Amino acid sequence: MEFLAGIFIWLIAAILQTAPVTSPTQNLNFLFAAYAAVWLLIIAYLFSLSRRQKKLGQEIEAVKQMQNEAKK
Amino acid sequence: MPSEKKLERWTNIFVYATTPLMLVNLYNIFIFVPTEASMGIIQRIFYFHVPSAFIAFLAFGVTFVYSIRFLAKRNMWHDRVAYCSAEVGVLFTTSVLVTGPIWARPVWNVWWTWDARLTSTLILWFIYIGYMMLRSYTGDEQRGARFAAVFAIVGFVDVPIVYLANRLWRTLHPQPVMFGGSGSGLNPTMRYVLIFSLVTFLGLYVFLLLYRLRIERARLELNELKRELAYS
Repeated sequence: MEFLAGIFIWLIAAILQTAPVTSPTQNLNFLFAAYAAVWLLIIAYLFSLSRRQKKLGQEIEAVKQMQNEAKK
Repeated sequence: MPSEKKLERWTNIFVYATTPLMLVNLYNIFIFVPTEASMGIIQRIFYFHVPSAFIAFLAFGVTFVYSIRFLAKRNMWHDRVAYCSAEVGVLFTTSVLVTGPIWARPVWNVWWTWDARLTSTLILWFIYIGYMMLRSYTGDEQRGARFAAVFAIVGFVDVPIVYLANRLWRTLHPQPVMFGGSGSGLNPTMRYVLIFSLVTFLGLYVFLLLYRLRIERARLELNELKRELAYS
């Protein structure tokens, strides 16, 4: 995930460095970069939430199993 | 504390409601809305930069209200809502701080300038990063929640400062286009796209908050199970 995020950020930086600042195409690149950055943030956050949820689910299952074994 | 089923149902409702809104929002921003005359195509950043800022204010407002409720009632769930909302608020503030400089570079010819609006927004981001760090580093849960609630209430003072910064001081940041008095205002199509984008981002905020709350609920359940296991 971190690797992909790195590549993505590098790509955005590369896009921002192409073409002179005044050209309309450059502005399109800036627009794309801004939108991509917003989506990258949201996707990375969702990914981190899903990972936390999965980890907690596993921990809950393990503790429940330990409880059942303790009851036996 | 709401049940897991209730949280899951509302999370799903907001996923199904927000996804089509997001697609229509993309269409609106990139195809439907007319291009602004002076800045050109880059001005379209406005339709996700401004909603991100408004939703960040809302998220910190929720943190503020739930922090007060926590201090009044000492209900840990209120503290969790405050914390989760702050986390989502930081995400939206980050979005503002990333898209702002990308918009500024071709328009102002600089990535960043230390004017009142930009600086107060950066301070706002640091305040809530500090709030989250405070939560992480305080060992005692109740005490940490109390400290954090006070911090969140005091920190919220920066939100109206950010909002009013370009009204109170001369800034490079543009003057408000909505509720900005005479001389401000938007073309009706642009206003519709902005309001639509605000509604979409609001849906996204509620979805992220509910999803985050489900994780907090699972964490509380885990703590409870561990306590029961320790006593058994």
